[in-house]
Amino acid sequence: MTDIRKVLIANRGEIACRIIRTLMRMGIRSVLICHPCEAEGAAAGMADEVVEIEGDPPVSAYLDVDGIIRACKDTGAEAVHPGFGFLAENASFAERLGGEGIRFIGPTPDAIRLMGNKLAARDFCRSLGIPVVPCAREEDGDFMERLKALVFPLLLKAVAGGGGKAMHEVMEETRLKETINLAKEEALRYFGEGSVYGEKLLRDPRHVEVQLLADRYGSVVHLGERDCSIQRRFQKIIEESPAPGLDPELRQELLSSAVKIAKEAGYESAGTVEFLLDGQGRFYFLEMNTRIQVEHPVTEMVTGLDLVEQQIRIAAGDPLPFTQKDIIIKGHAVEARLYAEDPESDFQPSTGRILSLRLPEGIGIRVDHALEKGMNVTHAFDPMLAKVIACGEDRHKALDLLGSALERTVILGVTTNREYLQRIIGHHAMRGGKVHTGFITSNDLKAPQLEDRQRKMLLAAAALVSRQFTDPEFAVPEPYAAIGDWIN
Amino acid sequence: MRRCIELLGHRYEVSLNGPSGKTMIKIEDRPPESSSLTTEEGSSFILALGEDTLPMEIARTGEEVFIHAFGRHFYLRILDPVEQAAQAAGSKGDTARAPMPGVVVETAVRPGDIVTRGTPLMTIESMKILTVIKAPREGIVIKVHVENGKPFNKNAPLVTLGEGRERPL
Amino acid sequence: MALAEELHTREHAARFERPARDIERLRSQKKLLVRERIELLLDPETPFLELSTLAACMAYDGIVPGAAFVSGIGIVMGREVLVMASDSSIKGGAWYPLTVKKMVRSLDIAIENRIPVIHLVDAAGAFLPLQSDIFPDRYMGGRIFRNQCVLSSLGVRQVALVLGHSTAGGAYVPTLCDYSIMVRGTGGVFLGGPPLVKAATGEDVSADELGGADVHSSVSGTADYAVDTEQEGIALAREIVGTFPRQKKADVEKRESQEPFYDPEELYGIIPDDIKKQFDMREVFAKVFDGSLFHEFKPDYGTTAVCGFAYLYGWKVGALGNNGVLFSDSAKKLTQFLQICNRDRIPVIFFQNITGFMVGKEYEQGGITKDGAKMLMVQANMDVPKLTIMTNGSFGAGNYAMCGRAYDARFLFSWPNSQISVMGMEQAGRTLAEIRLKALARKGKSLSEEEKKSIYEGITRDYLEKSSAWYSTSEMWDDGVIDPRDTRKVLGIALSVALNRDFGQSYHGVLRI
Repeated sequence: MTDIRKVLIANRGEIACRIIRTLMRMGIRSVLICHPCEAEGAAAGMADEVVEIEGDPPVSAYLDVDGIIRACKDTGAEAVHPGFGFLAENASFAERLGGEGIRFIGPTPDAIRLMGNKLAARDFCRSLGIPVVPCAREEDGDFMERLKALVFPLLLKAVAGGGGKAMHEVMEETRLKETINLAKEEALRYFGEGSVYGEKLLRDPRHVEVQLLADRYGSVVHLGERDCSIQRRFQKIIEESPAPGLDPELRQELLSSAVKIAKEAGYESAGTVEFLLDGQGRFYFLEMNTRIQVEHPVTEMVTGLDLVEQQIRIAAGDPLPFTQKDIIIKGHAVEARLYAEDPESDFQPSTGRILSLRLPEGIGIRVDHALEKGMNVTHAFDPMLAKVIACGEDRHKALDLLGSALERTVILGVTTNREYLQRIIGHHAMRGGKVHTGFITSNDLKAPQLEDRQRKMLLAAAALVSRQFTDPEFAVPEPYAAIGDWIN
Repeated sequence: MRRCIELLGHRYEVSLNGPSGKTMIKIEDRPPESSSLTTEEGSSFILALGEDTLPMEIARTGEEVFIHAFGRHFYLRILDPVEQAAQAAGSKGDTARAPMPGVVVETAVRPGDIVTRGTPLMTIESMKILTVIKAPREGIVIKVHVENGKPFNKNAPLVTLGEGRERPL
Repeated sequence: MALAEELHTREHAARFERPARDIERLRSQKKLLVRERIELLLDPETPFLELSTLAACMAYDGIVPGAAFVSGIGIVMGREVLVMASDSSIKGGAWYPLTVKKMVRSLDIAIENRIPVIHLVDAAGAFLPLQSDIFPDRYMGGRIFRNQCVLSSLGVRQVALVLGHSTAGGAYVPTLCDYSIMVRGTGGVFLGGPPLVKAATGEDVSADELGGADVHSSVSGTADYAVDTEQEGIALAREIVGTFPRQKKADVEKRESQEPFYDPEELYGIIPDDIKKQFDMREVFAKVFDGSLFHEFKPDYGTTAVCGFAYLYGWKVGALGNNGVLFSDSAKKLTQFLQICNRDRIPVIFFQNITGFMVGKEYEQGGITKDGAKMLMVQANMDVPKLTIMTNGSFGAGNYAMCGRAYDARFLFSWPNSQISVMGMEQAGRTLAEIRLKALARKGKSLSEEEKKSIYEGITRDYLEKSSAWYSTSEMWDDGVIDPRDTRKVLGIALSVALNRDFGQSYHGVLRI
């Protein structure tokens, strides 16, 4: 049993809430760091202790390594859970913590370093005989020529990147130079390192990933795969487990490749190996994420395991309490990410205040969020609002359940992608399992036309509510209000 | 004397007559219908329009109205006819505005700089993507509205241009 | 009803029918039309009670509709305001004698009712060929500015939006306001415009340098704000009005408002086609007042007059109407009722349909003149607001007793069928014709019956025209001709405006006369 009694969460929002929930269940005290602008938030309300860290812009508070170490010392936290994003895949952060005698709930700095460098990770996998997408690297010289040799379209990525940041498609040669510069600039800004590399861009591949758990004693198990093909702007919005319509042999190959990578890398903790699948049944290693993933709940729902709990136990030095044959995948789970964004205008992030909030509940439904009525959604943080996950006996039931859960979700005050997600869930291509990363661009997901009567009802409600809520200071007095629009 | 409501990119003229409870509502040139809105609890309402009734969730802030009805979400804006007219008459495209909320990463120009159409003015970051804001026309930079590292909202003015011969303010 | 149709046709013409070139000229100057300005200024879904829409409709050969000026009551940011706006689509908004009369009357309304004024200034200046009817007398040009000064001392706020050049005397209109907004480019304020300056001193100066928005808002201080567009100016004016206190109404008994039980459209069926035919004023009351309820006072006494209590948009009012000629008893009843209303602080509304006081030996001996004088004395000296509707006929001293124009009704509106003159058309026609015929007879002319008839008809035609509601409203003997079915709304707004001024307490007992 773990000897960790207090964990600091170096994260925010829904994942912070989710981690705290597990800590509560395990009887471990929680310390949350937070920027003052979130001191009233849901996560701060759940944590046993809160340490405020200043920062401008606010995200910098969650990247403040010194501040976090100080907070650990001040509160006596023995371990840090980094969640995802921020410092989750920062090897030097893990190393600093180790030097201070604080446990990092995640893999070793070496493993992070190996997998965090995209090119090193590729080389490593290739050495294990796992296919990778052809690429050209900057340091090999003749970068432009090598890129052209890959044949367009290409994808430019930051060597130190991840999470869809600093990724750019290049469809033709004329835009190549310009795009390289932009990608380098972004890479430098986000990852402190400007080097980029180019890959051949696969046409509408599927994105399938394998969830792993590994302890420090060399045991590695996989928890099945997830399909995360439905993406916009290189970011996943719908994920499911198991992957629909996957050839069993191919599936087995993916699972065993993932396990092999983790074993050979001496990996510990939870991790995910991502693959791209082309239309011809080939697969390519894409990258390995050395942290808990946003979409981990779908795996939790089909395996019945708590991945955060497993991460903590592994960090405490516990061996895995099960072997591969103990892992049973039951049913089908689908997750939809609710974003503050406007799908009608190119998924631009939206801001606002949550004026009305109602989240779905019920058997087979899980909502991970840190929302509260009255909270402001600003551009200071990632625009993800909540994850709605549904689990059913089979894929159809799970999709039905998720569709109805989304329909019952009410978030007023900020534009969200809720309806858009509903349309994806209900789309016949989705129902038929025809998922690939080009799903959103190649399917018609436009909002249905409003009926005349519906339009009239909406306009009437808006007009009436605007009158009802008029500031009494500027309300139209009687008899003018009763007379209304009239001229003699 | 009229109210303009924007829904899904279209604008509709809506007028209300009569006291609450006996309100007649007229949309565009359609025949008026009796209409009322009763509060259930919190943001739940029941709309009655003519013979029909419909439960709705409604939230409003300033001129923005958010409605959840028939399983869908709608965003409506009550437009101030004056402001609307002022906007229509005003803008001559001399201010580069933010296409989305974000933070200024780098500013390429200073007041007094002469720019041509398409000259990069500023790099902004939003949604993990860097976007270059370019000059909407040729002119002289009069004002840079947002400093490096500072955030702004959608539609916020970023850089204002004047005529080529004007002096910066 | 045909006359109501005619009213709306005339109103439409006065409001909107302009030569295309005048509209194009304004458009090319990026100016809005006056109706568009007002629409933008007022709150959405609120009424606008336009005053004297048909002013000057029978003057100046009809080429100056509305006297080139729009005036009316509306709501801005929840506050009642009087809008006074030049109509620059007519002769550049030049001031004709009736324009000045309209402006003075509007400002009188503001003074009497303490209602803030928004001036939309865009006038070319006085129409010089008629300057002698515009400038010198007590109620002419100077009265506009004098009224503005008085208004200021009464604590009534004024906002000016200068949307055109405002020269000479006109320059004082915005300058005497508490808040003055000027639009860059089109707005200008100067005592003497560039041509006059050139003629007087030889100085060459542009309109902008002389009195443009920036000069006045940042150099001379003559204006307070400079804006780039009319729309911005209107938005700013609205913002300024939003800082004014909300009007407190005089303390009049009030209950929940109720629509009348009877449809106001039924009024058309009551109005007779012949002015001599009598109708029951109670039927009018039933189409105007809350719930069609009317409590009649002294119903069995002086039955040619009707008076009693009713509610209008919840406010208690005293209503008085004529059901025939005024006799001593009916005049005394009304006088007693007016005393009650004044003591109990109840505003009164007169519904005129009066041929006058009864004449004849019996009535003179019964003191009819004395009883009429009592009514004038009480009526003229009331503290509570009075409103008057001309429903049909208004002749002779009855006009005075029933609060005609001279008796300072806060507002006076006419129905389109109404007629007004010192005596009825037939008596007057006969009297005038007789005078004419006698004069001709003195000159030795003998006339055939045909000739006599044509003289009589000519006289009556002219008399009829001058006693018509159209002539009356053209000369601004009223505040406008209204569609009878709108009477309730018009009175409601008029009463609401009238209640802005507090009328204190009364300590007079009521005489049973």
